[in-house]
Amino acid sequence: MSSVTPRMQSEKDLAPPSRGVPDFHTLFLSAPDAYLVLAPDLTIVAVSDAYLRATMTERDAIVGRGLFEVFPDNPDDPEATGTANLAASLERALATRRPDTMAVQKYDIPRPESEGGGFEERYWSPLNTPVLGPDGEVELIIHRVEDVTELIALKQKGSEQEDEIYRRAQEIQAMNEELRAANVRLAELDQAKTDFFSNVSHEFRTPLTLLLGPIGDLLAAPDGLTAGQREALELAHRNALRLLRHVNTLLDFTRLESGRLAPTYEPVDLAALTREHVGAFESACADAGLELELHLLPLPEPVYVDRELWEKIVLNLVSNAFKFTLEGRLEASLSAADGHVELLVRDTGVGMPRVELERVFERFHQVRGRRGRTQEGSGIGLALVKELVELHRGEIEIDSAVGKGTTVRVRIPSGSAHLPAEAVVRERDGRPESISSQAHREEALRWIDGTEPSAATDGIRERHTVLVADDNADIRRYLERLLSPHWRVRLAADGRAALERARAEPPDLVLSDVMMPEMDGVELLKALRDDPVTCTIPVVLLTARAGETATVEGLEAGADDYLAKPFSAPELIARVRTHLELARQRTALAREQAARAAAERLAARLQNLRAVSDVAFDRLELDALLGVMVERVARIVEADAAAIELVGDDGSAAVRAATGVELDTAGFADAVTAAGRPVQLDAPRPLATAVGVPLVAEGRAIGDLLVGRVHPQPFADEDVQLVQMAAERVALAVEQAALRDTRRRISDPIHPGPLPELPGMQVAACWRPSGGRDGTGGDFYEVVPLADGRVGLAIGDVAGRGERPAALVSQLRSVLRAYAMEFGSPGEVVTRLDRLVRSSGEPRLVTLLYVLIDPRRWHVHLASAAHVPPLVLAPDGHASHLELAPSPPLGMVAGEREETTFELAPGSTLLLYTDGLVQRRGESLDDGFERLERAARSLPAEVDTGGLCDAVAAALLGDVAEDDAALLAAHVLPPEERLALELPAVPESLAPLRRALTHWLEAGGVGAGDVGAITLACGEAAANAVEHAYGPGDGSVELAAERDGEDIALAVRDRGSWRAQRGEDRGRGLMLMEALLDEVDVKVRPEGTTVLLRKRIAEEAA
Amino acid sequence: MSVLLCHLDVEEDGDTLVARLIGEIDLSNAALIGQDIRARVANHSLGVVLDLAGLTYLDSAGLEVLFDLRRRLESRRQQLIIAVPADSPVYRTLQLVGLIERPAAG
Repeated sequence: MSSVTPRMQSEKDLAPPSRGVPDFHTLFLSAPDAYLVLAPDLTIVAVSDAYLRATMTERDAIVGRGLFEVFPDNPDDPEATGTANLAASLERALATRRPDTMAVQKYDIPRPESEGGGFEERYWSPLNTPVLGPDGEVELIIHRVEDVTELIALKQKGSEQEDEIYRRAQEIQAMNEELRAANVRLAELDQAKTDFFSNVSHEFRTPLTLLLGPIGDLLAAPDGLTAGQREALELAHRNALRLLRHVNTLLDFTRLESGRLAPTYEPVDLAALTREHVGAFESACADAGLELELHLLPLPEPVYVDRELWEKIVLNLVSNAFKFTLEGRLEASLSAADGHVELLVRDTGVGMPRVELERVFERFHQVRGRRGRTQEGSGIGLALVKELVELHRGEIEIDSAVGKGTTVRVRIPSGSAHLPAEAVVRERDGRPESISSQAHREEALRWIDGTEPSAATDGIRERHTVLVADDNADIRRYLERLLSPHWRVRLAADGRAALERARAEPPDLVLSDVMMPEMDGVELLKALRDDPVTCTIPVVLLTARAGETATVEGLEAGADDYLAKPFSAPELIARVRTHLELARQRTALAREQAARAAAERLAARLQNLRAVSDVAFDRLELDALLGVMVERVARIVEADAAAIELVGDDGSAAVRAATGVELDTAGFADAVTAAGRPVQLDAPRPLATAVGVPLVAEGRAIGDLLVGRVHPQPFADEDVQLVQMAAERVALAVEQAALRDTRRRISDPIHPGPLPELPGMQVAACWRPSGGRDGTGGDFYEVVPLADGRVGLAIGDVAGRGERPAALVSQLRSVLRAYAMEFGSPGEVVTRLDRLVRSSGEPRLVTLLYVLIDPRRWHVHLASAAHVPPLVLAPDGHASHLELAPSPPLGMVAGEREETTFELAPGSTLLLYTDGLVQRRGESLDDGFERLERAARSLPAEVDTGGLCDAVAAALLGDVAEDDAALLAAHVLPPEERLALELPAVPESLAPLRRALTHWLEAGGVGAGDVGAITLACGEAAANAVEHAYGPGDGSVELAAERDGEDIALAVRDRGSWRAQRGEDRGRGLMLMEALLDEVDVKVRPEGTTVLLRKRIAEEAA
Repeated sequence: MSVLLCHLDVEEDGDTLVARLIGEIDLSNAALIGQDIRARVANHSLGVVLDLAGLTYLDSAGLEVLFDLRRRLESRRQQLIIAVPADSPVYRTLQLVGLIERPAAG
C-alpha cells in the first residue's frame, strides 16, 4: 500500500535563504518566549533570555542548579502550591513522554536582594514538553512559561468591581424602595386631603377656582389690559388668593368643630420651633423697615405641643402684629416659669381700643377703623388662636393701647400631665418642613407695597438649583419665596431667558409657567429636551387651569409633572422635592449602569482573549485551527465576513479559511503585508467596512487575517486588537505546521499514515505517482470511521502540481474529515466542500466522490462532484461501474448536492479511483472504464483489497503512469462467530475497540440496548487496563467475545499488574459494569488481569 | 482521534450556557472536553445546560467530568442541567449514577 502525502509549506519558509545553517544557540537564547531546559533530574540546563527577564534571575546563578532550589515556594504564602503542581506536571511529562499543559499557576518568584528581596506575586501558564532521545527515553524537558500576572490581576479587578456594583445596586434598590414608600405615603396623604376638601370645602373652593382661573388668564395675557385694569385685576387676584387662605383657616375650624382635629402632643424644643416660624418673617420685616426682636433661648425642658397647631398660633400672632405695625418693631419671646411656658408677641403698632379687646377673640370680629397695612382680614385669626391655645389647656391674654401697640401672651402648662394620655406621644420624627409659614410670610410680603423682595438667601438647605420661569413678577416672587428656603432659586421672565440660563448653567429642576411671551413653557420644554446638556433635567409645568390643551401638549412633550393653579405650597414643595430626588436617583442609576456596563465589557474582553488564545488550539491541525480561528474572530468582533490568507512560495496569497459573506480578497494581501500593521481596506461589496491584519512570522509577513462588516459600523480599536491577537496565534500555528510538515517530509515523503482498522471491513489504498520531477499531483483519498459504525470513503483530484494544489488537498482532507463526522450525509458533506472551494478562490478544477458505506446493511449513499464513478466487484466476480448522473466539479455548484443510494450484493468490494487510472491520450473514457472492468473480472476470487489495488494498478498503469492515480478499495466482511482483538493499551484504542465490538454484536443480531450495555462495560474494563495495568506506552489490551447459547461472553485481558484504584470514578466504572451486565468477574493474577463479562441477550433482538 | 471523537458546540442563551456534546466521550477525551466546557462558563452565567442528545457513548471517565463540572458549578452557585432524551444510549448510564433522576420530558 502506498498513499498520497499532502504538502503545505516548503522548507524555504523556515530557513533564512542562502545563509546556511542558523545559529540555533543564539536563536534559542533570544526566542521571544520564556524557556527553561531541564535535565530529567530537574537540573536547569539552559535558559532563554526571556525567561531570565521574566523571573528576574541571572543565567550564571541558575544554570546547573536544581529547579526547586532556584524557585522555592513563597514561604509567606501558606497556600502556595506552585512547586507541588509543577513537580507533578514534570513527573507526568517524564512518565508519559508527552507534553503536559498546566493550568494557570500562582508561583511567586524570589526578588533579587538588590530590589528588596522577598517574593513577588506572579501567575504563570506553563507547558512542559519532553524531548526524547533516539532510544525513546526522555533526555530533556522544555519548560515554557507565559507570565499571565497582568491578565489575572485584570480578572480579579473585574470581579471586585462586580461585587462593588452588586452592593451599590442593592443600596439603590433599597433607596428606591424608600422613595416608592414615601411616594405612596404622599399619595395617601394627598388622597386624604383631597377627600377632606371635597367633603368640606366644595362650596368654597369651586367658586374660588372659577374666580382665580379667569383672572389668572387675563393677567397672563401679555397685552390688552390698561394699567388701571391690570391693577384692579391684580387686586382681585390677590384677594382671591387671600380667600383661599381663609378657606383653609375655616377648614381648621371645621375640623375643630367636627372633632376631626385630633391634636397629637409631643415633647418639642419649643424655642427652636417658634424661631423657625417667626424667622419666616425676618426678610419681610427687614423689607418693611421693622425691627424684629427675638428672645427665643432654649427652654430648660421640652414642651408638649401639637407642632402643627403651635405653628398656627405663632404664625397668626406674628402676622397680625406685622399687619398692624407700620413702624417700630416686633418682639417675640419665650419664657418658662412656675410650671408654665409663656409666648409673648409684642408690637409697636396701631393698637386697638380697650373696648374692642373683649370681643377680639370672637370669630369674624374685626376691629373697625384700624389703620394697618391692609384692610384685609377675616377677623378669624385670633379666635382660632384662642381655640388652639385651649386645646393645649392654655390661656391667651391680649393687651393693647391705641397708638402704642399690642401685646399677646400665650401660656401653656409644662409637662404632659394635663393632656389626655392617648394624645401624647413621647417622640416623633421632626417634620421636615413648615407647611403654612411660607403662606403666611408670602402674605406678609404682599402687604409691603412696591417692595422688591430681597435675594433669597435664607435657609438654603439643599444645594439643588431650581430655575423658575414665569412672566408674572408676582408669581415669580411667590415661587421664589416658597422654594428658596429649600433650594437655590434662579428666576427667568420668559421661556427664552429660561432656556439661556438653563444652557449656561444647567439647573437641577425647571419650574415653568405654560403661558409666557416669547417662548412658552411647552416650547421651552421641547428646547430643553432637544439639548443633550439639558435633556435629563426634570421639568414641572404650572398651568392656570387643569385640562388645558397646553398641559396635555406639555405632558406629551415630556414634562415630568404639572401643577394646576391654584396649588398649595406644600404640594408644590413636595412635588419639586420628589422630582429632584427622582432625578438624583436616575443619575445615580445611570452611573451604576455605566459602571456595570464597563465591567461587563471587561469581562467580555477577557472571555474574548481566552477565545483567541485557547491552549486547546495546540492540539489542532493547522487547517482545523484556521477554521476555528476564523469563526471565532468573526463571532467576537461581530464581523459578517472573515478570512485567513496565506502567501505561498510564488508570493501570491490564497484564502485558506473563510466564513460568512464571500470575500473577493484580490489585492488585499499585498496592501496588508506592505503596511505591516492593521489597515482599513477598500471593502468590496456587499461589505461596508473591512480591516486587514498581517500575519507575521519571524518578522516576515506570511499572510493576512481579514474581517469585514456589511453594516457600516467601523471596527473599534479593541476589535482590531483582538484580531491582532488572533493573527499572532495563527502565525504561530502556521510556523508550527510548517515545521511539522518539514519533519514529516524528511522522514517519509509519501505515506500519510496507515489506514484505520475498521471492524467488519477491509480497506486498502494505493497511490501511483507519474514519476515526474515537478512535484506531487493533487490526488487524494480519505477514510473516516463514524461513530455509528458507518464509514466515509472519499477520493478526489485537484488539478495541477506543486505546492498550491497540495495545500488545497491538505485543506480539503482535514475539512472533509470534520464535515464527515459532523454531517454524515454525503450530499451535505459535498455541498459544504463546494462552499469551501468557492471561498478559497483557487481557480482549480477539483473532482470528488464521497461514499458513505454501512457494512451491516450492504448499501451505500454517495455524492459526486464530476468524479469518475466507483467500480463494484460482486462476490460472483462480476465487475461494473455504478451509474451516476453528471455533476459539476467542486465549487461550481451553489445549491445542494444530490445524493444517490445503491444496494450492494453482500460481500461486494467497492473500488474508488482517480481518472489517472483510466485516462489515456486519444482514448475515450469509456474505453478506460471497460479496461478496468476487464482487469477486475480477471482477478482471482480470493484476492483481498490490497491485492486488488496493486493488481489493477499494475494492469492499467504498467511501470510508468502518464498522470498520478489513486485507488481506494473497501470490502465488507461477512459476520464472524468469534471476535478477538489486541490493541495497544492507550486511551486512543478505546474507540476502535468499541467500534469493532459494536459491529460484531450488531452483525450477530444483538439489539441496540444490549449492544450499548456490553460496549460500555467492555469499555470500562479496557479503560481500567489502559489506565492501571502498565506504565505509559507499554503493553496491550485484548478483547475476546463469543456467543454462548443465549449469552454473550466476553473477556478483557491485560498482562500488567494493576496499580491501586484511585478515586470514586474507578469505583463507578465497576459499578456500571455490574449494573449493566449479568456477570462481572475480575481475576487479578501476577501475570495480568482478566475481566470476564457475561450478558443474556434479550429475546426480541433483531 | 480524541479531538474528533466528540464535538462541543456552545451557545449562550442569555445568562445560560447551552453546551451541546455530539459524539463519544471516553478516557481519551473526557478531560479535554471537561476543560473546554469549563473554559466557556462565564462567571455571570446562571448555569449550564448540557445537551447530551447527540452523545452516543459516555464512560465513567466522562461521568467523572460531569460530576466534577456539577461540583464546580455548585461551588459558584451555578446550576447544571443535563438534558438527555430517554431513548439516548447514555440515558441509562446517567440514571445509574444518579446524574438524572426523572425521565426526560417529551
